[in-house]
Amino acid sequence: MFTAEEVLDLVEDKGIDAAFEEVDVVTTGTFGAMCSSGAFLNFGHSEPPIRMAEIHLNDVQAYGGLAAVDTYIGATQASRSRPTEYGGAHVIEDLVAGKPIHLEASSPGSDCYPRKEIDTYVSLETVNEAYIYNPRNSYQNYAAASNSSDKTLFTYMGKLLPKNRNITFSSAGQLSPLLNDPHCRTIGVGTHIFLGGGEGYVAWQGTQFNTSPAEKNGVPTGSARNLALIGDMRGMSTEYLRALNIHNYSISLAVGVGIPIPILDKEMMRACSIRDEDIVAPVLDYSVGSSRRPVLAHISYEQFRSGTVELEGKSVRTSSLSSYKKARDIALELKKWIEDKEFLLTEPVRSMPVSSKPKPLQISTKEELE
Amino acid sequence: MITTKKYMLKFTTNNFQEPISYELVKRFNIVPNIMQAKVNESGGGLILDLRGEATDIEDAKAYMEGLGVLVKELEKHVDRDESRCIHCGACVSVCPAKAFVVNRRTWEVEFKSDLCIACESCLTACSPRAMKMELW
Repeated sequence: MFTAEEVLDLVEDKGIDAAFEEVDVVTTGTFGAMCSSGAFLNFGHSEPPIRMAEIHLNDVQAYGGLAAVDTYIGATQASRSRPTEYGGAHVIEDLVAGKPIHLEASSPGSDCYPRKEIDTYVSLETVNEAYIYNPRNSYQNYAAASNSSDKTLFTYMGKLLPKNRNITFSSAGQLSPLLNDPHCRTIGVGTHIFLGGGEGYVAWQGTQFNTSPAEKNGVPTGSARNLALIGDMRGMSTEYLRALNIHNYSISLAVGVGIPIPILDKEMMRACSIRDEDIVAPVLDYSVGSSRRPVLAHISYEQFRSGTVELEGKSVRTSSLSSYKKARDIALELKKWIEDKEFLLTEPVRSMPVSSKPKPLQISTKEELE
Repeated sequence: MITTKKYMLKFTTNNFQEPISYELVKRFNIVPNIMQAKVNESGGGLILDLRGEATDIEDAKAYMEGLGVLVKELEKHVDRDESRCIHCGACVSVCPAKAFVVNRRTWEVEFKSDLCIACESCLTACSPRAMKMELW
């Protein structure tokens, strides 16, 4: 049992063949902002019962289009009263912390659900099911960001100083799950994982799953594959599930994900010996307000993590947006769970797509699509 | 003994036109390093480092207080809520004073509050909202 970081020294000392004989499982980890996250909750029925159509949790709107007392709360949903301060991610963090949550719901009322309004408090203990379902998490690599304009920009890639005075990046690099199994040979639907400090599973391929980015050293050089994840909120911890307020952008949720990778053969051993110096990400210019942003450079994570990189002949300071420290903690924690026989590895029940490329949204008329 | 201490000075409309920095240099042999200055309808304020003999700094303090200036030593004017910090590093590249340093052994982000110049740049970079500053 090794983490994806610990295994690097072993491979360097002994080579792939000897390391393969010694290593059964490599554990990975990542901890960063994952906006496409949220939670399903079931409140149980009140007396008299209500079919909740408009739902607010601590003043944050939750989805009312499911059955009577089911809901989904999305991480980025802003609260009505404090939209820049508090949102769905905070509700999720507060639930995991065991805090009481204010539930307000209303309904037109019906013969079978006569109640029209409810105003009460719930907690992780009082609700029935409470599980995280995140449609897009754990990105395999992600483009870094800079800003060539004259003013500071506040983006989902953080605070970008004018004239390319800083670069932000967001990946656990050599510790990241999908960079250690770049073609998803072992990670598939049903893979048992560490999620938010508790246990979860890979539910499906993540949205905008992309196998098309060019590869270097066996891994994609840009935002590529990602995973839809599911897991019981009970057992999760605010250490690994943390609400974020991304200034002038949105509320988001930092999610901790750890995936064990069984070393089935020497090819997997080689894949898990990927180093930050071998993983490259493009630096995109976020001053261009288009989905086609110019690429300013390709830079390795070893360089990003050094604190300064060379960009267009200038020395530029860098900031990581995801926490390498937490990624390491997660890989170590998962390793301990497996060593203590508290966590079993599973074989996936379905493979990830071999070829998939997200489509852009075209502005179309109804007739064009008929 | 030469020391450097960080202070916040608050002025009222009765004393905000006093040439304080000049007096600090001339009379007390102090090197003031002004990090922030503001003036408003109720007076204003300065955030500055004072470098000099400890006894001179004390005398300068007494002089300023004699004018009615509120003198407050700032040990921790910017504070990090350790329970919120996730050690991501978003603050590192936006800090002009390089007060955030990544420890490359633990990968924790260390905050050197003595280097902080109270520019507030980190406040909008910190998405877990760990950095807090209440000055004025």
